[in-house]
Amino acid sequence: MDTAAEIHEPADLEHRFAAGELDAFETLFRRHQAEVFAWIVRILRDGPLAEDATIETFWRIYRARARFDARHEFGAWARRIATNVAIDFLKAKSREVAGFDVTDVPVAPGPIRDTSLNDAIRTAFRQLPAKLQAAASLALIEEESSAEIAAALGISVAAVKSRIHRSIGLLRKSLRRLRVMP
Amino acid sequence: MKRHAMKLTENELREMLRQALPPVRLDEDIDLWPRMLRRLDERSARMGWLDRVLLLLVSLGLVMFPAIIPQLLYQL
Repeated sequence: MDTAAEIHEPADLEHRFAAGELDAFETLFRRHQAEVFAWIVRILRDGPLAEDATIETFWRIYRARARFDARHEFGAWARRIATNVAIDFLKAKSREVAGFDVTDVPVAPGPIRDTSLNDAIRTAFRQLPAKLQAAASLALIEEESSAEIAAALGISVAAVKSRIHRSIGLLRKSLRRLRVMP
Repeated sequence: MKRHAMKLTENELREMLRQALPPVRLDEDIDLWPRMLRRLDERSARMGWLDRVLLLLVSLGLVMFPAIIPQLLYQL
């Protein structure tokens, strides 16, 4: 849907957003919501939760509008905020299941297969600390580059690699406890 | 077989994760703007209430301690 704001140049649009104009915010929202939502889904892996996180992301964006530097790219700024929101949502979700131990997953004696295996892997994955889970989801499942993950998390590439390495170590440990792997 | 040979490789782990956590199907036509507007309205209303309380407290403070008015004006 075209709005009056869309006829302006992007920089002008972003300046007007930073000045607090709601129609400029709506234009930016409509332009970037799909991208932000898709990015958050890749981290949370849960559609309805990702919708809530997208709203929270744009709420934080709107609140921080005065700090937005219109010389920078709005999409990259939004993605960074979205990543932080997604991590906050993962933390909240992990608090909800606090006390649930990976060894609580019922497993048949001997190596487990198919559904039980997927349940065990999901459980092991969900028990990763939120920051590691976000990095692991983006790197190991979505195959995003370390540089892209680093930009979204606001950390160095080396720190991203370290998080991925720690995630793999923790996943292996959990899966060993579940006899999914030796 | 040695222990390291039995270790799950990174690629095997990636594959297991992809199978256990498949991509979420996205609704391309989803429009979240109405929800965003509701959120903005809720927050605006909440801030308005807070603003009113703050204004009331400041007014009460000035009525009860008028001596601070010149000091405040000087600071401004």
